[in-house]
Amino acid sequence: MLDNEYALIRLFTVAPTIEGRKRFQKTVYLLQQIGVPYAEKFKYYHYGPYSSELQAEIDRLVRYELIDETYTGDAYVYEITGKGEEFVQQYSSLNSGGFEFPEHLVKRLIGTSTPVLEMASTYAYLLEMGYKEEEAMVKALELKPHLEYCLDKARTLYDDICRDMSN
Amino acid sequence: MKVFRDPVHDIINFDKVQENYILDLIDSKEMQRLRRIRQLGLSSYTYPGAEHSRFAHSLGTAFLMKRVIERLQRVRGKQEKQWLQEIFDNQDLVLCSALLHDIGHGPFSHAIEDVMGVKHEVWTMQIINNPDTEVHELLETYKPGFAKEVADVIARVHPCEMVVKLLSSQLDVDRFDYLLRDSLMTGVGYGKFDLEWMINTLTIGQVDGVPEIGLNLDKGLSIAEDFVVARYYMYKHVYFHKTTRSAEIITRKILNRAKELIISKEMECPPYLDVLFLSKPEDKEKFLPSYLELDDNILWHWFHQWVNSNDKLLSNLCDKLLNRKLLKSRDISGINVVNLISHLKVLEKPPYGDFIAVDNPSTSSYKDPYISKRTRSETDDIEKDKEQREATEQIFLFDTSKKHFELARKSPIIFAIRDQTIEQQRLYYPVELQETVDTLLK
Repeated sequence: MLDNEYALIRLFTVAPTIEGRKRFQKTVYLLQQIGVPYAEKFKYYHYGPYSSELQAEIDRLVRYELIDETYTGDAYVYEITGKGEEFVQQYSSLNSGGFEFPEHLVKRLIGTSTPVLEMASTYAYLLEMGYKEEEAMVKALELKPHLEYCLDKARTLYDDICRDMSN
Repeated sequence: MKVFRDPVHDIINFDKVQENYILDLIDSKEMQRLRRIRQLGLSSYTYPGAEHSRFAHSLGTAFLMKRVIERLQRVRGKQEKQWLQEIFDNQDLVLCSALLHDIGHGPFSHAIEDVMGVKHEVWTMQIINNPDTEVHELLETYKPGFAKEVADVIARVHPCEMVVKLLSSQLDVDRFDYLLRDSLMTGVGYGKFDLEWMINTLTIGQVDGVPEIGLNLDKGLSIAEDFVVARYYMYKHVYFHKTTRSAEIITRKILNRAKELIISKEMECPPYLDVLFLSKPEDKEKFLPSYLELDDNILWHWFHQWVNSNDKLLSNLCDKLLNRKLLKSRDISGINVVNLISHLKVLEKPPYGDFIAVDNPSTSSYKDPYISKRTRSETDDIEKDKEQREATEQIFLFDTSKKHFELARKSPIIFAIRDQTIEQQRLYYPVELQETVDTLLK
């Protein structure tokens, strides 16, 4: 119950602000891929996997005043509100509340540059769609030749978070 | 010519010689399985006529793709023909992708996806790429490497963007078919649009230097509006209907409870259901044979069996689903979410707590709500803002000089609903808690 809302707000207990919708989208997708229970459906679009459901949920959290959205001229910035903090506390006391949350991985993802996140999530999407690792590298490059410079970083990031999650 | 009679398209036909690869795929074991999976899952609890299968929708989508290509072959102009050549060269690829786009759906698709943690799109890739399936063998016999190409189109990572968009975009044949089919079979009055005129007004132009399929501005504006509004109403009144969602919630609860009992070894795992209850997402390949055995009939069989389970919760949930003793619902869109948690604490106490659920389905009416509030009021900035381009595939209209116009720029109706998220926020509860809910939410 309210699991999706909680799962999203939980991000802000680790990183007080999330800068950019792309960062938000790719972070959630990568966390979903390593087993964090985000339920949103993603499709491949111009900048990699994207979920309109997730965007609708973010909008709902803003409407509920659990998070704040501000537009800085370059990007949207999201911050948790006092009401959001109260929500997290209250939710944890529900019988159905809570799940394992890899705080250090969330911190790492939110601190990663968006091109690397875009490439890492594209690589992860290809793996999800059944590509083998090396094929996924080649295909990711075919899809995003302009991000060639961060392909290795992206792969290392994804491999690291997968390994960390399984330990 | 092989002919199928169809309630939406009347006659669906494929040439027995030139399109034999489609007919072979239709006869494959994996396609035939879709006959036993309902397109709308539990919508027949609300609309008794909604018993149509994913097989019929897949056939309709492939046929519509064929008709769209035939229409595009009649588009005039040297430049236009050059742009379209990529589609004509890939006609077999487009048709196969249209036919197979839903091949990975399971029974009660969204409920089982939650339980397994694997999406139907991932099973689609497995079925197409796994050498042990008939579909894969047929595709590879037709042309080596073809299975991978079909999978890439469906996964939206094929290099030919126009081919991908014909199957999956704001203006795609999948949507054409499911709106018309679901509208007809549910018997609702909305969801309909003039398909013949839609196909007739299809054309091609360029947007930012990239060829794009769109509609003729003069002839296509009204039909484009009709199409977007049809989808808006279908989500509002059919796909998100409170009764259907109630049945889906119960199904999800049944599967989750069965999983708990099987994992704790209090119940044996029935044949083929190991893929639902005992597999991990990384075990897809191993469990594919079980997945391919799953259909609506098998799950209904076990729901019947579990009515007699020793586990009272499982038995009660199955009884509720089979006998349509559905959960009640209450709109909670105006309720402070922190207060809602306090209410849930009261409601989730025994003996009815296991039957409580909060449901928030949502979709966008036209563009994904990625459009910024900042540029909404401005007129021409939308395509310029990179952050917004991510999922804003749009419907384009082309005038006689091939100048392009985005639909919402030409249509006040679409402009008004473009940012409308279609969503519901409901609390579901058993009838026994009616008074408590009335008191809490008054």
